[in-house]
This record gives sequence, structure tokens and C-alpha cells, in this order.
Amino acid sequence: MASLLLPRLVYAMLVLFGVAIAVFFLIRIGGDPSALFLPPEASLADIARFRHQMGFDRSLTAQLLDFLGRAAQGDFGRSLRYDQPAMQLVLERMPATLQLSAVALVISIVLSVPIAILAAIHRDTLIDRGGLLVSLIGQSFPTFWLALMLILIFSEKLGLLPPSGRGTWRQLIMPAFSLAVYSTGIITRLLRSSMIEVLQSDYVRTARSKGISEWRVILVHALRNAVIPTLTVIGLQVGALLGGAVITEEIFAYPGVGRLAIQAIANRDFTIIQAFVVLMALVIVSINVLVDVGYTLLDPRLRTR
Amino acid sequence: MIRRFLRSRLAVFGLLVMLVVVVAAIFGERLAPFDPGDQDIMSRLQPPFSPGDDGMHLLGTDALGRDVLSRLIVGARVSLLVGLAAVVVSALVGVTFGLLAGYEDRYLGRALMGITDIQLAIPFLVLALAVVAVLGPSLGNLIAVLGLTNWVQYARVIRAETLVLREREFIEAARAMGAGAPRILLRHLLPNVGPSVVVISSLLVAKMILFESSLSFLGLGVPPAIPTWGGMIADGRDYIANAWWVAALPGLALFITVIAINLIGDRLRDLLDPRLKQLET
Amino acid sequence: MKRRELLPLLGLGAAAIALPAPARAQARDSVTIAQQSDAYTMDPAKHSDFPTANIMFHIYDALVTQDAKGDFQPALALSWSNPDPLTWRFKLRQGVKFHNGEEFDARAVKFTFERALDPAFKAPYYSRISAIKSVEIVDPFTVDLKTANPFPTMLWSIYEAAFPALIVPPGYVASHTPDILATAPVGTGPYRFVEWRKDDHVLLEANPDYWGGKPKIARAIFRPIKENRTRIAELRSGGIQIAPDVPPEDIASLNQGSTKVLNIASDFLYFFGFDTLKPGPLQDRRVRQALNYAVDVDAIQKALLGGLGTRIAITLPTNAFGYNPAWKPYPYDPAKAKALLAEAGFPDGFTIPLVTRQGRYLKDKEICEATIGFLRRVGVKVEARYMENGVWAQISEKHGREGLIFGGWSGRDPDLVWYPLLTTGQYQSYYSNKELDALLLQGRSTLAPEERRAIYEKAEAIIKDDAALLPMLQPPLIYGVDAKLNWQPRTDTIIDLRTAFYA
Repeated sequence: MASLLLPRLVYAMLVLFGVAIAVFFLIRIGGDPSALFLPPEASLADIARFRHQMGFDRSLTAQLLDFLGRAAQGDFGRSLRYDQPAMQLVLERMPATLQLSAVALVISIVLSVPIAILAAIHRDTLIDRGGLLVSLIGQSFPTFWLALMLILIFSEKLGLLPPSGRGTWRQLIMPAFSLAVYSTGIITRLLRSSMIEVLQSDYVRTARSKGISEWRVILVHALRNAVIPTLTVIGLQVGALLGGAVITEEIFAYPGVGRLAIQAIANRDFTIIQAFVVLMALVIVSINVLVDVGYTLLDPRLRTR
Repeated sequence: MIRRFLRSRLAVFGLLVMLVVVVAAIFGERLAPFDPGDQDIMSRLQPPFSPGDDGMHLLGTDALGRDVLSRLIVGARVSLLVGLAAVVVSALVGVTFGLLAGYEDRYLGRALMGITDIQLAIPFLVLALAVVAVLGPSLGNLIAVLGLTNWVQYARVIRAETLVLREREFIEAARAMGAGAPRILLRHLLPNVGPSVVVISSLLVAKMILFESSLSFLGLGVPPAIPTWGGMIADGRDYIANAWWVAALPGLALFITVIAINLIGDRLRDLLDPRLKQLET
Repeated sequence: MKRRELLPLLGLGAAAIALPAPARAQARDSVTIAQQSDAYTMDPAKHSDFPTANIMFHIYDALVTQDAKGDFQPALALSWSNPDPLTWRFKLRQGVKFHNGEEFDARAVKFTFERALDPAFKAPYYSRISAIKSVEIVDPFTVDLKTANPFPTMLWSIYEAAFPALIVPPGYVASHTPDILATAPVGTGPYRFVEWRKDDHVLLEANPDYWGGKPKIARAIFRPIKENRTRIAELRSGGIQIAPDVPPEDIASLNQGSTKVLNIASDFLYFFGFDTLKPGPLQDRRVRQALNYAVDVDAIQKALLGGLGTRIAITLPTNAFGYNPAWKPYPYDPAKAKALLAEAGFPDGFTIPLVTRQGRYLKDKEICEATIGFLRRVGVKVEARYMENGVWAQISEKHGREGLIFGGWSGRDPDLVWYPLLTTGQYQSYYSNKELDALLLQGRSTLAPEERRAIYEKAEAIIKDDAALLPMLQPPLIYGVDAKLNWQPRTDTIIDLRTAFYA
């Protein structure tokens, strides 16, 4: 197990390091935001004073080394706007986004697995066409448009669902659904083609010839093998969900980390952006490591690599 | 192969839709009944089939009195242009990196994969937002950002294929005959990864168009003077309760176009995938 | 298998529909207000935006306050005077207590201003109060604010919209860590802080011992909702009771049933600035006048703002000190515009950039686009460059704006508007006129109102004649409100629940 995990962990650390440096430079391309924080009638002297107080007038290298050094200890500085520790602000909102992404992922899995299985079994029939249609529509819907339409219909016109906030399960429905649509499309398509392949494989034929009931064959033997290639995609989808939640959270006023990120970018709140990106990278890289390891464990053929 | 492609009715439907969109993109202004920039704020937010001074507004007018149909037609250009150009940029960068990384596996390859992992770990929208917010909204910047954040899709797959390919006999033979690396890469490896490139591209075009519309929606797409579908939705979102057509119609256009692209892409994949398993010299 | 899957789904669906709609039937003693963004902090001197300020104003008070008409009224100060041109003396209200029981007196005032003026404190809005050089305690309930030069607009620097001027409790801060106020605020205001769930809501409850009388609304809740559509949907479903920034198009549908619409012309100014410092057509007075004639501001107001808001004749709010109702703007006259352009040597017009942000103010993009449309008709081609907020700030800082500049500004005194915008050398100013400079300097060197009025009357003549700017209007503040809620909006966008109640 250690031999599986260790090289991957080291690699993951290197990637995180690279991410921190990359994001540091990316957000500083346009200079610093001193003028943004001050009232419109502030004078140039006021702006210069603010800049000096915040340390923006130091050389980039000095700022980079300072940032990396502190980040390694977990200190991501204080938010320029909130004047509180940046990483704490990001972490406070993580549970909300994780909850939203998790629910969205569950919804898409719950929707796509049955559809994919049915489509694969009844291949080239109307049911299959229906499944493909679902996958097609899911992949083609612009998320923000869907979100606006949902609010218009279910909140304004019908008054059935609350359009914003977090706290009750009803407030989760629309945002989670908006997010889930794209993932459902992708997972359905992939799982279906995976299932089709597996159902024709020798492995399944053998199982059938042994007299195992059809449902067991499908659900236990076929599905288990079909899921393997889909795992990577599901792993990628988690990254997409976390990143895609940004617009959805904004539209539904959902207090997650994506919303914080959008505001931080608009406000040029460097410290928050850095903390957010590094944390996201940590999550994504961890998931990749898990998926990688899971892959190797699930598929014995890969272990000899 | 074209005949096999055309055998699927859905694919043909997709092709026809794309034909309409492409024609709109190319001939935009000439087809549009009105000048898409022509404002008339006294006749704003008119519903579809409203009569105007110079003719009927078939799909109504937007918040500044501009004809929605005309803006939809001209808007096709940016959406398509950005989608295609971004894919071309991605492909160029990604395939190059992928080939090199697959062929020269020891240092270049590992370094490259490290870079792709780093980029994959940063959520796309954050990346694009940060860059576009700073560089400013322009067509060129947008294409560059979209292209440079998505080349990774190509790099990984092409690298994996190249790794397998370079052990094949025909490559050995070429090397034995004294072919240098560039020749091998260009003449032997590149044509063989072609099908994968097509498959990935077909998937990516739709995604790029959706990305562009998201960025336009957030106000970070092309400058507002140029009509784009995402921008039209953003402009119209305040009015969806009483002038639904301003935001709903561009959304529909987006949706149908992306469906068409996906249909074509699906068909291409069905045709090309089996071929991936038997690669020829 | 299919039927077994469907039934629970149907059941869930039925349950979702059967459950009662949220919030509407709640007790009528709380008001939920939706704002564009969440608060940044609970320390009044550590932030720089209005959504936070609205919350701050309920927890804290200032020395003076603005009433519905925009006049200054006593708050924590009962009266004020100027014993000499460099001193503002305030007599303070007695018997006021902070939420933690601490007494309010001159020491609190001294502490508040000295804290915010300390460079190490890094108050973002330092420049608002920077004219105050020192605070001296005359007796426990009299305090002097001293300035280096005569400062006629002092009251504007110490009321609630000058964020660091809200009074904080010295004893409380001294007995805790210095940044205690950021998370556990204590003030003299009508509401006490209860909780702040970041990005979700801030909850305040009425202060029964408030010196102005216990507010009738028992609980005030602030929620950050950026998307317009979402705010309106929440208003309709009863989730919130006050929704600011309602688009004019929604007024009709919101003015019925359980909701109503309140609007008021804001203190804010929409206008176009001209970059007259770089060589170009805008350096010619006739061109600037032509642009003023070319744009039909009334039509824009009618079409885009539903006729709401107030037309301004010159770049100054109509309720500002020194605004003369007799002043008239340039009339809409495209023929005259073309004639002037031809006279100035541009018979076929010219091309010019327009630089601005978008999405910052109500209908700003539409107004810019409409203006561009009007200019196009007289031959002036405008290349619009909409910048993102951060980029705009950077370019502005480098004095890099050019061409037509669409901006917003606010200030109810000519010194607060004309001085920074039109004086030579000010970094927000792209105009230079020696005569005007002299007048504006005079206007801020004296405290006598009549004298200042006369000075600014002369200044207006120059500004209008030289067409230094293209004044448009004061945009309306449009609020969607619960039909049963009695509440007055304010022209400076501050939301105040002190006198609100349910009918």
C-alpha cells in the first residue's frame, strides 16, 4: 500500500507547490488593487500610503517568497477586504460547497446509473434513444441559463421553491439540480457505452452460462466492471462541480466557497484567491490520488504496472 | 466514411442545424433584417412579431430597442468563432505537447504531465476569470484564455497514445531507416493520432462555446458592442419575467447549437472509435 | 423495477408541493433586507462599502444624522457651533449607553476618531475624515474637532455615510483585543448584534434602551443576494421584505398584491466626463457643447428609467447645497450639435473612446449604449471600452482614462463634487480652468453659507458655458417592499429601520 501511495503523495505535493506559484503570478499580472479599497475621492497620496501599508510596493520575488514561506505553515495571510485570516474564510465556506457538490453528484449518479443500465440493456430501442437524449440534453444545457429559468418558474411564477440561501433541504434542490445536469449527461453516456462493452465481454458470458440470474449479472458483475473507466470521469467531475459551482452559487446566493472566490476576484482580494485555489487544488489532487489508487485496487490487471 | 456518417438521421439533423448556424456566422449582417447595433430606445422590449419603423421585429426587441433576430444571427459568429478558434489553439498546443511528451518520455514527458496536473487542479472558471479580468475583454484574449486552459485534454490522451505507438514495428522500422525524430513525429505519429484529435475536438467545441457564454454572462467575454449569445442572456436576465424573449431565445440558440455539435461529435466518435483499435502505418 | 422506482419519486414530489410555502406567515416583527453583498466586518472603521454600512448604521450611531429631506439632525450630538474657523464644537447627548452598559461621553468620540485616524489602523475610508487634525475634550459632554484649514463640509464627514465616524465604545475595546469589534460589535444604535453567519445572514435584535426610542421592528436580518432575479423572487415569495435595485421594468408587476414599490431620486450623479487634457476634439469647447446638445437625456430617462430619477442641469445633485433650481441644462438639439461640430472643424464627426465600468450602477450599460446611439446620429463614433472593476481602478489611479468617461459620483456640496472632478491636478480631474480653480478654492476656504453660494453661482456659469461635463441625472433608487411595511428610503442609499413599522 505504501508503495502505491508514497510516490503519488510526493507528486501531489509538487503539484500543489506549482499551483501556488502559478496562482500567485496569475493574479498579480494586473498590478495591485489599492485603489479599489479606498473611497473615490481618495488622493494619490492616500493610495500610496495604503499600498505601502499592505506591502504591495515590495518586489515580486520578495512577496512570492513571503507567501510561499507562510503558506507552507498554513498561513495564507489576511483578507484585504475582510481583515480576517484568508484560509479561515475559505474553510468556513467549504462545508457548504462540499454539501452542494455532493448532493449534485448523488443526484447525477442516481439519475444516470439506472438510465445508463436500461439504455445498455435495451440497446438501439426507444429506451436507448431516450437515454441518449437525456445525456445529450444534459451536456448541452448552459448551466446559468438553466438556473435563471428554474428561478423564474419555480420561485417567481409558481412560488414552490425558495430561490436562495442555505439551511433547508428545499433551498438545495434548484442549485444542486442545475449543477447535476451536466454531470448526468456525461456520466450517462460513458456508463452506457462502458456497460455495452462489458455486457458483450467474455466475463459476462461466462457468468451467464453459470446460470446466475440476469439481474445479478447486470448489477453485480457487469456494473462493477463498467464503473472502472467511469471512475476517472467521476473524479474529474468532482473537480468540475467544485469549479462550476461558482456561477450557480452566485445566482442562487448560496453561501459557498465559489461565491467567495468570484467576489474575491472582482475585489482583487489576493489572499483569498490564493487560499481558495490552493485548497481546491488540494481537494482535486487528493481525489485524483484516491481515484488512481482505487483504480489500481479495483482492476487487478493494472496492478502489475 | 461520409456515407456511413450520413446514415444516422440524428447526425444529419445536427449537420443541417450547424449549416444554418455557420451560414449565419459567415453572412451575418447581410442576412440580418436590421442593423444589430441600431438602437431605438423608445421601442425597447417589444414582443416577437411587433411592427417597427422599418419592418417587423420577428423575435422582438431587446432592452435598447435592437432587433433580437438580427443580434441572434450576428451573435452566431462570435460563439462559433470563439469555439472553433479556441479548439484550434488547444489542439495545436495540446497535440504538440502530447506528442513530445509521449515520444521523449524521461524528462520532458514527466515535466509536461506535471504542468498539466497543475493546470487541471485549478478550477477553469477561476483561471479564466482571473486572466480575463486582468487582461481585459477582447476577442483575442478570450480565445487565448480558452485555448490555453483546455489544451490539457489533448495532451494527456495524445501522450498516452504516443507512448503505445512508439513501440510499434513501423516506428522501429522508420528509425532503423535513419529517420530523425521530427520526421517520425510528423509523418508517422501525427497521422495516427489524428482520429483521437478529431474525437476530442468534437467534444471540446461544444464545451468551449458553453464556456464562452459563461464568461460573457459574467461580463468577461467580448466587449458588449459585439453581440454574443451569452452576452444577450446576461443583458436580458433582468427582464425574463416580463420580456422573456430577450434572454430565452439566445439561450435556446445556444442549446440547439450545442446539441447539434454533440450529435455530430457522437456520430464521429461512433465511426472513429473502433478504428482506434487497429492503427495502420 | 420501473414502477418501484417511480412511486417514491412521486411521493417526494407530492410532499414537496404539499409543504407550506416558506416564510410568509411568520410573525410580523422582523424585516429581512437583501443586499448585493455580505458585510465585510462589524467594525465600522474597517470597511469601504454600503452594504456593510447599512448594517453598521443599525448597530452604531454617529454624532449627526441625515433626515428624509437630507438635512442634518442631532444624533449623538445635540448641537454644534464654530467658536473659530478651525474648530467644530459639538455638545453631546447625555444618558446614552452602549449595548454593554458603558456610558457614552466625549471620551468615546475622541477614541473613535483617534483610532480611525491612526495610520497603523489602516482605515480604508481614512480620507473621509482626514481633515480632522485632532479631537479635544472640553468637558465630559463637549468635544472639539479641530482642522488645519477651515472645513465647511465637516458635517458630511461625521455622519453615518462617513463610515469611520460611527461612534465605538472605548472601554469595551480596551478590555478586549483591539479587533473585537470586527466580530462582536457593540454600539449605541437601535439594534444589538446577535449573530453573523458569513455569506448567509446577519441577525440583529431591537435595543429596548435606545435613546431614540425602541424600534418597532423587533428583528432586522440582512441577507446577501447578488442576482437581481433571485432577490425579486425572494421578495415575491415573502422570504425578504426589502429588495433594493429593482429594475424599472418590474415595477408594475411588483406594485400589486403583497408587494409594493418605493422609489426616490438618489444623491448619486450620472454624468459623462471629458478628457480635455490629451490632445483631441474634446479640447474644443464647441465640441463639448455639441455633445451636450446631441444627447436627449430626457428620452433616456423616460425610456430606460421609466421617467424616474431627477434630471440635473449641472453636475450636482438638485438637493445639494448651492443648487439653484433656475439652472437649465443644454436642450436636446441635434441640428445645433452638428452645426457646432462643423464649426469646430468636424463636419463628418470623429471617433472617440468611451471608458467605463459596467454593472456597477443601475442601467449604467444601457445608458452608455443609448448615449452612444445619440452621438452616432450626429456623426460621433464611440468605441466603448467596458472595464472590469479592478482594471478601472488601476487605470484611474494612473490618470489613464480617456475620451468620454462615464462615471458616478455623489456629494451634496459643490466642494465635494466640483473640487475633485474639475480642479487642475486632482487625479480624478481631466479638466483644467484657472478661473474655475480660483473660485473653487475660494469656496472651500470660508464657512459662510451666503458667501459660498455666490461663489458657486459664478462657478456654475463657467462650468456650463465651458461644457466641462455632460450632466445627465440623479438615478432613482427603486425598492421592492412588502406591502404592509411602512418604511422610508433615503437619498444616500442608506437603509434605516429606526422608524419603520408594519401597518
